Amino acid sequence: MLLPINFDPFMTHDRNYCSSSIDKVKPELLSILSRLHVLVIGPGLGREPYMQTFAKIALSLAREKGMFIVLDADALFIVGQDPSVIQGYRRAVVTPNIVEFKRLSEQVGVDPNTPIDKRAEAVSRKLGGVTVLQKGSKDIIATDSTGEQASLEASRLGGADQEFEEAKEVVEVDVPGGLKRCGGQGDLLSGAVGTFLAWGKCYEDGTFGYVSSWI
Amino acid sequence: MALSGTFPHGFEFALFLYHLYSDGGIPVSRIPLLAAVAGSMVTRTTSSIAFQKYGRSVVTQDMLSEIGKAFINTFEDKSSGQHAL
Repeated sequence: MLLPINFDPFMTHDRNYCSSSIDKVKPELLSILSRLHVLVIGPGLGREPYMQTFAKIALSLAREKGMFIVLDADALFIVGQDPSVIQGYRRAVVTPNIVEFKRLSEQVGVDPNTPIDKRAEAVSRKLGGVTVLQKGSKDIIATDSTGEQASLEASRLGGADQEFEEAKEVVEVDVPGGLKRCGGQGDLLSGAVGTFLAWGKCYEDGTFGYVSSWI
Repeated sequence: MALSGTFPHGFEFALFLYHLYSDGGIPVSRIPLLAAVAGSMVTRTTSSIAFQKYGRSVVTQDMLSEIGKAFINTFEDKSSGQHAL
């Protein structure tokens, strides 16, 4: 995510700068988010404390608004350090690669003895229904919103039928890919998932003309 | 197909079909899963097309121009210009 907000990078050495600028960034972020269908956080984010702080603010604002979110790359670092930033919010997709997935599953406390093909599901369950897209020679996509951490209210689905909204599913995608993995290919993936989520958002809002109450 | 002009994208058409055949529409909880599967399929196809074209020298930038083709291959029927799903 790129922040199109003016601030002085030289000022970031000043510890007080970060906390004082949060108040300035919040309304700016809100005005940007109100114009978006979906939020992709992570690619190119970096691990500097001020960027991580701003990303957390964007994440919490997006959660309040009930937006679909994709978390990739350095945003997974935030989730690993504090899973509660995304826990229970099932409108989110995390896209870890092999290394990130291993780290993430340790950080959320998945039993290391879990069979490899069941791990993505276990991570999703621990995160309360956040969809996990585990990249690899086969992509494993899993969602499990039947765990204790899952929450309809936290997912901005208050009032929905709990049974109808419960999902427990694993999909393996083995469509042939290229024989070379390039750096930055993950950014392509998170962007693509974001695009599809935006259409999903339109579906939910009834933009395509058919809403759940129709049938 | 009578409806094909109504839907600008294959994926939306897929959502629509899914909506028709599922009881009560698609739960919001499943939208991220469906989007992730679709995103994964398109990205993998993109990577495959770019590799066929550029071989070992492929870089991510070369893939950008192949995304559209990959999308059509995945969700639309090229020969008739209609949706594959």
